[in-house]
Amino acid sequence: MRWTWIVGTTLAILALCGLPFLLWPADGAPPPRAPEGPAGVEAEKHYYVLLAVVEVEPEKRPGKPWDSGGSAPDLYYEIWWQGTEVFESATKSDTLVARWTNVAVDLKDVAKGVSLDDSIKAARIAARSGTRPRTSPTVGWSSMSVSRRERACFASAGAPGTNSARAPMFAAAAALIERRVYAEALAGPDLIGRFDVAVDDLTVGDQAWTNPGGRLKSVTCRVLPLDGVDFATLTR
Amino acid sequence: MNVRTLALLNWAAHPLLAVGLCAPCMTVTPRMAPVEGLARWLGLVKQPETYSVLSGTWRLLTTGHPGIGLVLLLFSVLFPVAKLVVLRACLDDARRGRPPGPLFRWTERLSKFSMADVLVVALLVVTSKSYPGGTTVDVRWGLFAFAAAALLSVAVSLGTGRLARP
Repeated sequence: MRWTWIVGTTLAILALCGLPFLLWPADGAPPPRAPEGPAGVEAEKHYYVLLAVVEVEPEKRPGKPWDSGGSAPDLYYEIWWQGTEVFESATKSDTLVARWTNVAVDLKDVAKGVSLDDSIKAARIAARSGTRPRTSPTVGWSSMSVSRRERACFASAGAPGTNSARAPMFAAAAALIERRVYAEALAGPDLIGRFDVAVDDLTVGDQAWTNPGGRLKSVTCRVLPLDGVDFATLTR
Repeated sequence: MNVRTLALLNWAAHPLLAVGLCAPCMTVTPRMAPVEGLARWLGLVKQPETYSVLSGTWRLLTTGHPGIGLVLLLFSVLFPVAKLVVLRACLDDARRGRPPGPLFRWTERLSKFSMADVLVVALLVVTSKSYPGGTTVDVRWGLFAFAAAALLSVAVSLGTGRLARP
């Protein structure tokens, strides 16, 4: 009985005094938690944004092939942010499913000297909440699009920032990202699909959308922090 | 020192030991000078890691060093706790005018190993001076709490031993 009391009280005191350090370990930082799903972008931080995978419908319109020879389209995409085109991808030839990697070095890069940052093929955006004047809702809007090269389609698709359907989101959203996916054609770029995403809705990592707009079947967007991301993650 | 003072010191060693076991005891900061910037960007340099006696022991046990982990668990965690228990029982006996039992003699003999963890960290700090790339091991305040608890229990142990001798 005496030993039980002595051992019990000793352990109780040790547990009581040590527990706070176990709950809030080491540097006073909160204990590591299990991942709770994708993390959203943080305000005032910069990010790389790219489309990792784009799949388009097998036909331009029902019964009409993409190219006159029946071949698949040559795909590329643009990213627009704050009303400005901030990135244009390389063109993937004759494919219904295009894939872009985070890091690539092409001859153009070699000619002007390869730097690590230049080799990252993605748009650079800032997640900036509440910095836009409310009287000027077009500031800070941006877009992404996949297309065949036909610039005239831009106008018909709507200039960045004119998507009124997203307007209610404006107050809460930091900015919108517009994606435009193109397919190259003899006549020039031809817009396949365009869609907007609020920067606030982006999550770090990959996120996929099905039928986001136009003839786009699915799109996987990749967001990586501009700072603090290591080479292994970038080249994943 | 009388029984009451020794008992008070023994009580004081309880929270000190708890803090010493659980509070940060050392921080390992990996570096890769002179190419640290590039190496860090490439993900080759790990972030600084802070360990307490408990988390460090657990890390050793779970990362392929069970031998060292068990020695540290025995002499840095289990033995100091057992020593507090035995000393409390001995002081309780002394208060009632009874001589300490055989457990106390064993405790006295094993006391010299109760600072094993302090010794390990001291060795790490010294050897880290020769780590490549400027990697450092910094002592944190938890280690001082642990050392204080160990020294306090040594003092209580010596005092209890003197009480037991005629």
